[in-house]
Amino acid sequence: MSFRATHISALLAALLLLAALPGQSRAQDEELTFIASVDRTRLGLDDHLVLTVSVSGSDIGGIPEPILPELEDFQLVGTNRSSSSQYTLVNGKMTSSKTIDHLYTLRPKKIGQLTIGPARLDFRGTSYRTEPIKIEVVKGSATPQSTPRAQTQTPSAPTVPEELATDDMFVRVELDRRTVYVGEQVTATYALYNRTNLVNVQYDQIPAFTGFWTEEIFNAERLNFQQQVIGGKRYQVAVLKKMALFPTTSGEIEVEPLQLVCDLRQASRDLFDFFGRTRRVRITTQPVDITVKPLPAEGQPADFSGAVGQYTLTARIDRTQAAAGEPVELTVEIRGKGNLKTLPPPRLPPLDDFKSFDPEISESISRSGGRIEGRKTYRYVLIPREEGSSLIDAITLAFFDPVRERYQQAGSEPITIQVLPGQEETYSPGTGLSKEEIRILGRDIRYIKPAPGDLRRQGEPLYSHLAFQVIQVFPLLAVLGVILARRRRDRLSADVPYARRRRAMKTARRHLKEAERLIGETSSAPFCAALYKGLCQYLADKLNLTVAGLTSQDLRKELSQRTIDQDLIRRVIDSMSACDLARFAPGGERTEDRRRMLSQARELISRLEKAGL
Amino acid sequence: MTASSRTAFSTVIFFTTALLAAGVLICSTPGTSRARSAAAGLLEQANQAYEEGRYQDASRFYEDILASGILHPTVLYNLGNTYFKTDRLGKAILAYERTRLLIPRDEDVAANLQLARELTVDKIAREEPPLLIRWITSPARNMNFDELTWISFILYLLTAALAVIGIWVRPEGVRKKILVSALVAGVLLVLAGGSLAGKIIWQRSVNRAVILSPAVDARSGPGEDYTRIFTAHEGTTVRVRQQREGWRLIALPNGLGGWIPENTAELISPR
Repeated sequence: MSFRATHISALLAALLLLAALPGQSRAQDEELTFIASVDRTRLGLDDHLVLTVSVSGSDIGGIPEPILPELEDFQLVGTNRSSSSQYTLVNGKMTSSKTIDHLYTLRPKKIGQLTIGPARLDFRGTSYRTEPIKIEVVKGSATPQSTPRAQTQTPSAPTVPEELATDDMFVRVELDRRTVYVGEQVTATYALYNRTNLVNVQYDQIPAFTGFWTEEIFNAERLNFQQQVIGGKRYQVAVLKKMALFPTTSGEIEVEPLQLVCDLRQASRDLFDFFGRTRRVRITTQPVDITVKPLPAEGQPADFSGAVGQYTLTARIDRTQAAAGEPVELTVEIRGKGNLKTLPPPRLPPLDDFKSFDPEISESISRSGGRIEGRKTYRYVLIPREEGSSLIDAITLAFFDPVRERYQQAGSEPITIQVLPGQEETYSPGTGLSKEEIRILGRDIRYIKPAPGDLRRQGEPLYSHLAFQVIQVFPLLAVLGVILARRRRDRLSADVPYARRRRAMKTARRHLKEAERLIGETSSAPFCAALYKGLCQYLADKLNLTVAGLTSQDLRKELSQRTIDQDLIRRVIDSMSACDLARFAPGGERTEDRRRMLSQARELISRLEKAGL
Repeated sequence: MTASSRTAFSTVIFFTTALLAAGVLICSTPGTSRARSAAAGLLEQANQAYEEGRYQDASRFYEDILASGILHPTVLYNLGNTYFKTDRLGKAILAYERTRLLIPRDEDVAANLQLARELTVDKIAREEPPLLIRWITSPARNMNFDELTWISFILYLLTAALAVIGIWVRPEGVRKKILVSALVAGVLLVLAGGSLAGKIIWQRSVNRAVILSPAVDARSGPGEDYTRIFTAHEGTTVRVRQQREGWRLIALPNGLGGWIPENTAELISPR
């Protein structure tokens, strides 16, 4: 079975599964489908199995490799990966869906019912799992075409094979070269040499070709023997297998032996044994080493990414004129000899004038000449953004030519596209074609700040200045002060005797001042009236009495109650009556007398104050 | 002139004087004008060196300005940039952290600090405090000391002035309105003053430091003989719990603690 067929059947299986399970895996997430499938569920111990783990979705850029389950019962022989994309243009909006197939070639290690556990994929916070797959492994080979048969199998049950170490029959591997570069092809040819009565041949062990990427060139379905004389002996020689091996690492790499189990007919001495007896033997190739040289570091182009072989590259577009927003297909074709399957994609020039999508990749490989060659095609969909003449620069592929032993570059001619004005709606916002998120290209710190005009020192914080702390007391003092002032004012307005007492001195002084002003008047009446009024008002305020009804008896009584010295009381009353008398009676016209009266009144008031009135 | 209007007038005079005095106090910060103009010249030179890509030179100039006693956020920020450009991540983070103490709301500082932190080796899960705590602490985190002090001071003056007027005025309706305003101002004052007090207490009690050595082993005790507990790398911000004989007990944001030599880390706000 060729690899190609496996690939296609795996894809078909994946697609069938996809169609059969429309709701199950899609229910989790509309965007992504994750499926595992195998190319067959029943196989022999010698056969290979291709496990296809396929991921598809509309936006699966940067998706990681799926995580394979523990495959204890299998040996992983090779891996491969292929991807395909689909584009649909609906109402001027491009939607794409991409499918990535991870192909794993497995070889069972034992017979029986085996299970391939679920593969896992973690993507954007969601974990996806595939269904486990049951595999039945039988002895030998379950697929007839993969086992070369010389003749029909004998009915007698084969016995345990024995090692055969004669030169009557042997299997040999021939390499077309022993020293190659990494990625350069080595062709291994397996041939069976026989000069016995060979009845049946089966593969017992096929090399895993660890350290190589393999491509099968030839696999015998029937053994086609040809005669050949080696060392004077005539042999029947048949080519079993031809493999193209591409070393993946440098160093001495051993190719594992190939083992065959053969049934031989033995000449019997027993006359009644018509068929004779068969003898089961195992033959093995000699292990061979291949020296793999690393690719020279000298002259390695910067854009080299591992392509080895001889290639040419062409690029073309499906049309040279397109309207803005209209997709244009760019086809890049690489032809040549080498391992095209692992060929890295060509390097595209920056396509700033276009919106570009991931390519659709297809391969066409020929094995006929014993060399792997063919072409690989990348189909890119480009959407021109703006009208004008847009240039696609040369598309290049750097590769190492193992024949010339130096690096080469294949490149295309630059292509010019005339972009015509697009339809209006392509530019209208919301179509997703002309609008795009701003991409962050790099990160760096923000730029320095310009020098400020005033480079003031920012020293100790304000709160720790002593002066600032002292200032804090003043508003508090102001509030306390106003509270006290308010309380006094309230008392003055509520408590009349208190208010009068507080005002008494001030009023008395005003009257005495008035009297002092009148001291030089010719008539003594105004002076005496002012003086009398001053004293009278003072006492009335202090004692909370009315001025009008103030008598000397009342005064004496009230003052005595306030424990004023009797002598002082007497003098006050005397002074008042003297004043009162002088108001109406003539005399006392001399200024000196008036002065004496005034000072006496002042002295009396101050003494009353001191006495605590 | 009535007694009440005279009192109000004198109150206004008093507060104006107090404010003016405070203003004079702030403006009379030390640093002669000659030293200032010299530093300004140096800053121009440093910025030019930075623009020409001579980051080492620029770095030295900025350091000289700071050494002359001028602690300006622009100088600190630009210095952090030169450290970043010369791959001294720890010092860059230290400079940005110090800048942030002076200008906490500056977006450039925050962006650069974030980028620098992303480039550090240690990825330590930082627990986000609950929303309420973040909301309460946001004035303290988003304003520097002087801003909080000024806001508190002005609110204090306003509260006091409203209280004085409210206590003194006679018409009961007006008086009530003014006293309610005073109460509102007083509540704001408590918030601002509380934030300020919290910030001061936080700054005095929490010593944060940035690791400057490329990698430093934190040990179980202050000495080389103690068991290694973890290795901290350059640029990681840690809290300093204790300090003795050239060693510091640091704690990572996740609570892990260990002793490191004193010279491998620098305090963000030195004592």
